[in-house]
Amino acid sequence: MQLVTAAAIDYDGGNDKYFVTVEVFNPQHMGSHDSGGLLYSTGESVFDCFRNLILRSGRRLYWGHTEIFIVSREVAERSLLPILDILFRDAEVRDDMLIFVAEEDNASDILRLGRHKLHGLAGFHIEDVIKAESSISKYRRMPAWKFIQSMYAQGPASTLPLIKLDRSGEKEIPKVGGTAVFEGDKLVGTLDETETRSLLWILDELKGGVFVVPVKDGGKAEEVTLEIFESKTDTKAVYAGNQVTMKIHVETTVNIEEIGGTTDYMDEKKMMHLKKDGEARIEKEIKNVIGKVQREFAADVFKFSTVIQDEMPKVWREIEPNWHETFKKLPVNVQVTLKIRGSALMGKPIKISR
Amino acid sequence: MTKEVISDKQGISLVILFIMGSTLVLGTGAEAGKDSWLAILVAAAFACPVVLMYSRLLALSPGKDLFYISEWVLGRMLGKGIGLLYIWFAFHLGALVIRNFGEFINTISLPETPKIIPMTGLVLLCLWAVKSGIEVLGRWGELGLIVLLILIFLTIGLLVPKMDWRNIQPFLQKGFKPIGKGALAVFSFPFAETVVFAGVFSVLQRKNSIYRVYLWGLLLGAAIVWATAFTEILVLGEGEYTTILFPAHSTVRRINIRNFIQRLEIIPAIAFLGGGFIKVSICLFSACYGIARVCNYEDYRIVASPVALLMLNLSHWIYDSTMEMFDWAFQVWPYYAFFFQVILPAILLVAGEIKNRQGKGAGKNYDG
Repeated sequence: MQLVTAAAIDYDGGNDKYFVTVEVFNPQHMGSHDSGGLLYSTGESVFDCFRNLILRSGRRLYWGHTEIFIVSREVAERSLLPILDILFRDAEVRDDMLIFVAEEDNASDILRLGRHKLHGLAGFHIEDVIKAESSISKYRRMPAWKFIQSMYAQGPASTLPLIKLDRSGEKEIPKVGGTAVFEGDKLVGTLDETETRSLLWILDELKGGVFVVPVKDGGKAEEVTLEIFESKTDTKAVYAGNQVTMKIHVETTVNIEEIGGTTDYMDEKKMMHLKKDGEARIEKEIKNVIGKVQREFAADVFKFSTVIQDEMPKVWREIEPNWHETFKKLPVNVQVTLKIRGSALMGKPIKISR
Repeated sequence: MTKEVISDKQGISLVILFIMGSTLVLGTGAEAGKDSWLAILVAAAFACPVVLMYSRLLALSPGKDLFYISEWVLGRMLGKGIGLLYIWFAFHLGALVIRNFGEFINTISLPETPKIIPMTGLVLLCLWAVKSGIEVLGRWGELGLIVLLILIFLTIGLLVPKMDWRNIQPFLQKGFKPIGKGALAVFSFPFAETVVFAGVFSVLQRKNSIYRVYLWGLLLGAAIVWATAFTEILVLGEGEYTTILFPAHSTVRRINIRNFIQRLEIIPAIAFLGGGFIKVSICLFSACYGIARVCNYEDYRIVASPVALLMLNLSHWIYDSTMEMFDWAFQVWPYYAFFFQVILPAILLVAGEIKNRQGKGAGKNYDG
């Protein structure tokens, strides 16, 4: 029996056909060179492709263990609905698959070229990467059912993580990072890794990661790296004078993990300075991403509509018909509190005696 | 044929398992959307007096069942006529449950296997149960209920981390009308389907057993149905809950603890199996009792085999597709069943009370 570990979907606009690449794994032949491989097929619909794979594999493939699903940008721009429907409807295909949007020309390339040395199968590699989300917070993992659930809701928009090939080493490796923003089932734009981190911040989904603060103190400028331990974000809506304003309050607890200079941050004044710089930086990044999304995509990925719906349902009923316009101009207040908890093992920076 | 007797506890277990039966897996009251849990409570509230009505009807002639009573109350011809109607109702319901079961197995795990195969398996099992007598079923029910309850509550416990309390808010978003529609649906499936027990509850121990068994069975069964529906809404959210055909299956699918405790979807299947087994067996019992009474047979077991096989037959050709099955269940069943669940018993009860007052004896003396 052949298990599918990952699948990639491309769309050929010229012929109106879907192109599917699957990575299969043969558990019986584990260890030998027969253990895994790629199969390709085309078809008029996604399910058609799946079945046409039999022509190459000689038998039906088992989808019960497939966790990774990559769609090409073209498919995402056209509509994700056909893919989502089959993930949801079919009993064998699990609806907790993680979906990605490929930043390459072809989604197929990610599976074809991205065979990591350690695993040999891109599918397992990506699975491991995605599990470490909380340590890096540069992407937002999205199981299919969660994406579909957000589609049912009126107002908020959802996202999918981006995946591309990292060609910087000697082999190409699939790299997850950044976010694709969707309005309903169509792709409307992307966010880079830093913007994604801010997105997670706003959504109160940030569980860890690293944050570099450039501190300017007098003439000196140095970089301090902070490790995020926990973060809590409260988003509230305020209605005053016929205008809704969003108020975001962020409280993040960090440790000093790396000091790129000799400033002693145990000193209270310096610590305050670091704190203020850090808070300003976070606030700036958050405001940047909100501005960008408002201007360029007008898709409510921040779930502001949900907050308004919950806190002031009557107001929501009024603004709902014009939500897109309202969202674009929605004023947002951001307030950040940074708690510097400690500095790991060292109390003082490394001193250079020269 | 010696008189069979089951204890109150066994009777209650059977009613609970009957109510849990197909509802656990098919879901009910979805018309009310995220307020379905409220619709269930409303339906349970309305089912209480109805169930008391069944109990009172049976109490008019203790130790006797619905078929006997309808003859006593309305005379031989009309009584047997009503009896035929209830034989049909039990028979039809049994066939529907068998078909539900077949569709479920077909959809979620064995799409290639012809539905008739799991359905035949279930029917043969139920036939065996009926031939063994209701005492055997009662004993199984006592034990089976405990096992199923442990499984169900364990699963609900595992789902607590996946619950999102925002999924039931805002409360009453769509107003009261959908709750009314949902409540009617839940009432007719499964609460008032317990009218089928009226054809069978001549086997209870004591005179007042019937009230206890029916009421406790309804309340506890309703509580479990409520708990599972509530969990499903919390985990899935309104959109999915109303779209997916088997919400219990999808809900349990979400459990994934450290990639080790996962893929537990077999648990709702087991619950359906246990409950469905009881439901079909009771329907079979009721139909057979009815036929025995109407045709004046001594022993209902004679007709068990043909009735079971005919039920299987009906379940096979009654629907052309899954869509048709769900469509009929949502659009037609509540109104069709209302006649058997409320109207007929009400008529019988009124006529019975009148006859009682007229001093024509409590029916104990009537000998068809």
